Amino acid sequence: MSQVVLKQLTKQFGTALAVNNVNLDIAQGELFSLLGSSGCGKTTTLRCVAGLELPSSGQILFGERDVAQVPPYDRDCGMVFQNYALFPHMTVADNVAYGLMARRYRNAGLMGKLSNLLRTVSASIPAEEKKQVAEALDLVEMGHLGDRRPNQLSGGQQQRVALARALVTRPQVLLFDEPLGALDAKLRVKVREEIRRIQQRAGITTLYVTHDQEEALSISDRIAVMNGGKVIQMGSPEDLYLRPQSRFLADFIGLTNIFPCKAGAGAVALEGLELKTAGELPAGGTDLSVAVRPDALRILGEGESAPNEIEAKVTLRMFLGTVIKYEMAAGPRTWTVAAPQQASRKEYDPGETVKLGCEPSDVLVLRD
Amino acid sequence: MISIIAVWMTVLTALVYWKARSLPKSLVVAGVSLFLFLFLGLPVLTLILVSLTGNTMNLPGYALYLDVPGFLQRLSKDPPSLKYYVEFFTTSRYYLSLINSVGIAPLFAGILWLLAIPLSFVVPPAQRRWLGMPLLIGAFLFALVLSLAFGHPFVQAVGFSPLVSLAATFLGVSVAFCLTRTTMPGRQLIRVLCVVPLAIPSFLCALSFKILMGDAGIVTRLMADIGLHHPFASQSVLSAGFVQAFLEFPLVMLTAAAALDRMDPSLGEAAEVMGARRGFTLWTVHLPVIAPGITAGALLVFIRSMGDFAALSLLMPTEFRMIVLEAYRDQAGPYWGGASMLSTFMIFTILMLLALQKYMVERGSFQTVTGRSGASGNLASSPLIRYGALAWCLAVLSVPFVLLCTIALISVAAGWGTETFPTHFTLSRYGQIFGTLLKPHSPLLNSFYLVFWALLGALVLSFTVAYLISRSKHWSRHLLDFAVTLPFVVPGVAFAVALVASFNNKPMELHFTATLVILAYIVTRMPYGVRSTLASFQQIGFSMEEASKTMGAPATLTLWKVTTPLVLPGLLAGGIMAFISMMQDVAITVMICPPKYYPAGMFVFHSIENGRIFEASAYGLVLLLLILVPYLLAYRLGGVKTGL
Repeated sequence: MSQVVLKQLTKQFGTALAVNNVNLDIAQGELFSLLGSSGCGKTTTLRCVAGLELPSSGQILFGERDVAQVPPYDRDCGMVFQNYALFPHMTVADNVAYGLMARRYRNAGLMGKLSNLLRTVSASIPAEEKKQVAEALDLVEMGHLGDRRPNQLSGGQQQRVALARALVTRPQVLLFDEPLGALDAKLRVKVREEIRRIQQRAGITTLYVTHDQEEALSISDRIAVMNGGKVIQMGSPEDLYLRPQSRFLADFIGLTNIFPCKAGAGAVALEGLELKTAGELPAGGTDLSVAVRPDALRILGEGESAPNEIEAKVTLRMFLGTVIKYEMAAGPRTWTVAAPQQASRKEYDPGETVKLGCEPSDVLVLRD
Repeated sequence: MISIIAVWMTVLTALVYWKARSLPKSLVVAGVSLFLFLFLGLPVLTLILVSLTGNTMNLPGYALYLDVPGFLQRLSKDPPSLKYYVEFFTTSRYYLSLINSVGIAPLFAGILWLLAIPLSFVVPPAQRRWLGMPLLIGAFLFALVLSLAFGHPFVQAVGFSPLVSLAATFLGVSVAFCLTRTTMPGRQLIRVLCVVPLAIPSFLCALSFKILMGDAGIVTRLMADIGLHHPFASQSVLSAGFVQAFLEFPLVMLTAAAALDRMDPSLGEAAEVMGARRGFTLWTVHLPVIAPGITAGALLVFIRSMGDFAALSLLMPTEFRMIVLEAYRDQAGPYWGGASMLSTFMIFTILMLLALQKYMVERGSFQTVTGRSGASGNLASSPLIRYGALAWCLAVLSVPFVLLCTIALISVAAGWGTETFPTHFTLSRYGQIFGTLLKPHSPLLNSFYLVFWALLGALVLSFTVAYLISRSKHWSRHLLDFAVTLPFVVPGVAFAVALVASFNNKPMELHFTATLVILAYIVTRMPYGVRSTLASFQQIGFSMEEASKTMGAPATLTLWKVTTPLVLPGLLAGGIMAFISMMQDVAITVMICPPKYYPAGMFVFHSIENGRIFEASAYGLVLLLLILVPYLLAYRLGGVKTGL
């Protein structure tokens, strides 16, 4: 377990820059996510950390040691692959024991190597390591299925075996490459909670790659969002969700109500509307974007007022359980509003005209 | 010889090591490239060179010793000229052999189509489509009508091998439909039985056909008793075509059935919901969708039919010239210029057809074919169709099986001459076979000796080459990929001519040695192993090996514990197909094998040629069993489906 630092990491494929000068500092025991759409360089970054790609330049520090040019088998990483990559010709127990056997093989003499090659994986490790295998399988609640083959397991079970396999050698760094991609939606939520629980219990420094912003927000200590091979914002999940700094990021983490605007004095100007803001603004006239989260927009009742008010007409109402979602037309824009569902609250029908209000601190100013 | 090869290995390894920085990898790459260069690349090059100079040329030897003066001296003795290509057009034996094998109309259409390719860059896009299929079909019909009008026989106008392909396609596609689109009883069993004909050596079928249908054959006499005649003669175009079509139809059946299995059944259902009758649906939906599969199978039949030296030499009348037989005759002469010129023509024809097939598949491949698998839905299940389909499949299959049974019958006949059926039986020939089995240089022992070493070499080479092609990122992997497909394009006789022409003189003389036979088997049968292993490599992807690496396993452990076990089924299936093909080989053996080392297949062929039919039948049946058991095993492993 150690701190992982990437310094000016760059990876070039031919003329294409897959990873462009990435700097990350992952604390000991932290779960750090790389988030981005496909082709953004997140998986390449992960593969560089694992040693499956050698970086074109830059450093990868595990603690004090620069491993950038070290082959993968000398790095002491555990990795969970997107398709799990469980060996189909070995039992679950052999799959998990493989990493322990590989370490023995590396340090063995010629005869030891030969005997490792000729025996099954489980047969070539001593009893105390077999206990380690059993513990790892118990940790993921798969202890009773050690004799099965991977193709006899469900997707969720395979996932857990892959996790046990990555954990059993107690690696310095744990790596996840879209580990939940092959599971259905319900299972995904359950397994990601499990991953988080096990990671916190083991306290292993973890790098987690995903394209799913909800997954990243729920599981991570910190997140780096990548685009075009670069890190565009890094911070805690709350930071990213509540204070996105660019239009791309706001769009990516699923914010709606994003409109172009121009900077003014303490306010931003939209076409036919001015919204007061809380933070500092760039020089007047700069082209910006503005975003207001749907739950930050309040529908004002009789006699209520707010610093920012927008007059709008209801065009669509959708019942979503805990909230009611409205679409409202105001001039050239359509606003999405999420109103909490309470029996006491008034509901509005399409065609009604209402006033929307929001606080200046909820008006997010974004650079493009 | 060994020392010069060692020197080259050292030089090449050092060269590769300079880039790859890994000694084992450099050694392997150097070994593979040297081997393929010496025994595949240079012989094919020699073949083309000899077709210009008319004399053999030990190009591999000159290359090994870097003997440029020797090479130039040899070249100045017989300067290259187009003499033999001119001879092709002036000698009726030559041009007739190409016309008979390939056909006037296909040749005309193919050449016109090839000539139109550069034209298609000049012509405006709106007119370009006329240069594709319309030109092809138009030229074909034009040449067909014209050649018939000038009195050429039909088989010359269309060509012998195209006709065999057509017949095999009809048989194969009809059986494939019965298997995949009806609820015919016994479908599973018939599917397995259908691939058996591919394992039967064609010379055995030729023998059996002569025994049954020949001038004094069993069926001929039976029919004569009731005053009937059949149109087959011991040696006729019809007989040769008949035997080939019924032996090769499974190639089309396999590819067509695979395409039909993959085809989404809802396509046919959609057509029927829209009001199409079953026959119309068949013509407008099923056939177009599986067309790429059918053409691939038909092309395979064509290549095998054209290069099938054994069956053609036994069944074809001598006056009907075949290109593969003429090439053999010239080589035996020896008339090197003619033999290598004809071989070049064979290779060129196959290359042209491959290009044509690629073009047709590209313009007619449909993404939907890769939809969900498992043909459920609208299987025809009326009793008439079910039993009609069964009767048809059994009728088609009965031909090869009756031929097999005849072989079995003759192999135990004490004698057969005056009576219609043999009346006295003996097992003495089998006793003799097993009695002499362990004597030095018995045919079966020779087979095992040659095939054992060749198979070992082919397996090692297949695994290595497939590993390099799938796991290397260097550009040269495309070259390697092309190189190992080459033996598939070159017919056996042509490759044998190339080998003899390259190795029959100093400094690297190998002609008439068992070593050259083994090398030839390795090179020509390696594609089976490479293709099937490559498919396994592609199926397992990279992540298994990467997972092994991240868990701390060095390259040797990964290779042994992860990669090898995972590709082993593919390698085995390919190995079995290579084994079968080696056991069946006559075309290469007949030219380069010393008689002392004649393997069982060659021995049987030789016995048939000399009229020793009882001995040939007994040996043939033992050979067939040796082939059939592993063959059915390969079918279970899935190797036969690759279609090679």
